[in-house]
Amino acid sequence: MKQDKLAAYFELRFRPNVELVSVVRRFVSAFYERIVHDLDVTERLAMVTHELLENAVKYSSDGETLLSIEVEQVGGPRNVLVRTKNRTTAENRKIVTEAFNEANAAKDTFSHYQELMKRASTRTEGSGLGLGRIRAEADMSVAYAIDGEELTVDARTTIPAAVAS
Amino acid sequence: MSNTGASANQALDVDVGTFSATQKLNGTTMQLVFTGEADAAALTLMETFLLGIHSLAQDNGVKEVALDLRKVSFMSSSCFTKMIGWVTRVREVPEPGRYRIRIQSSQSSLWQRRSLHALQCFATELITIES
Repeated sequence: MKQDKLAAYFELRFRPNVELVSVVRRFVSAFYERIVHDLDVTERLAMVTHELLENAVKYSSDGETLLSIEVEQVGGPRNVLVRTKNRTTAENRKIVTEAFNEANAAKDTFSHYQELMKRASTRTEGSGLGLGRIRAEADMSVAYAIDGEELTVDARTTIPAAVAS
Repeated sequence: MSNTGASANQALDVDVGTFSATQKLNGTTMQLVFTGEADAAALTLMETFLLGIHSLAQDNGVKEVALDLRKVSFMSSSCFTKMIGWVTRVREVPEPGRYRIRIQSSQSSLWQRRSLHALQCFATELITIES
């Protein structure tokens, strides 16, 4: 049963604004620190959580977002999932779909990130960098699913087994 | 317009509690120090600060800007975009008037290792990273 494999689980449903995103990042950093005992991994996961939540704020149609974090362990390495779920408009679902299609079509994650940086240099609104940053800097895979108006974005990675303290 | 007066220079400095940015002009070099968390609270002021820095550097014939990021614990992609915008503006300056950017970073910070490597690759001719 999946529940047997869960080393840690966390879920938060709230109406984030950009200021609250930072509060949640600090909070989940403490959570990650306790679970993973690795500063680099903690920083990666906190950054990913921040970027996903900033996007959720940007794309949510009613302001509400569900953030869930799962750390799953079977034997050695642990699988980590950071998920955001929120309702979006048709226009925003199209923007997200296009961003993912482009990212998935890119042969090289870092080159794609550099291309996004080039475009970001002329943007006045938002960064358009979040997805590329999660892939290129945090080495996490990202996927999305759309169910009606609901958009789910998952970032996944595998981290080393916990060190006994 | 020349803008070398101490009070005019200090007017560029910003502090939003969780993030601050200061600058010091010394001849043709300029030292910038960022401290704290560069997130939404810092975004607008960081952009204004970097625009001001660019003007000040050009007005004073600055050859090198040293940016100390060692005490920045986090930078969101929105704020990182403002850094990219600054670097892009410097690149657009014709060569004799262009200044170099030397970034002092912390090797123990993952975001700095990853983001600054990406930034250096974006403008290799302009940026030096020290750790």
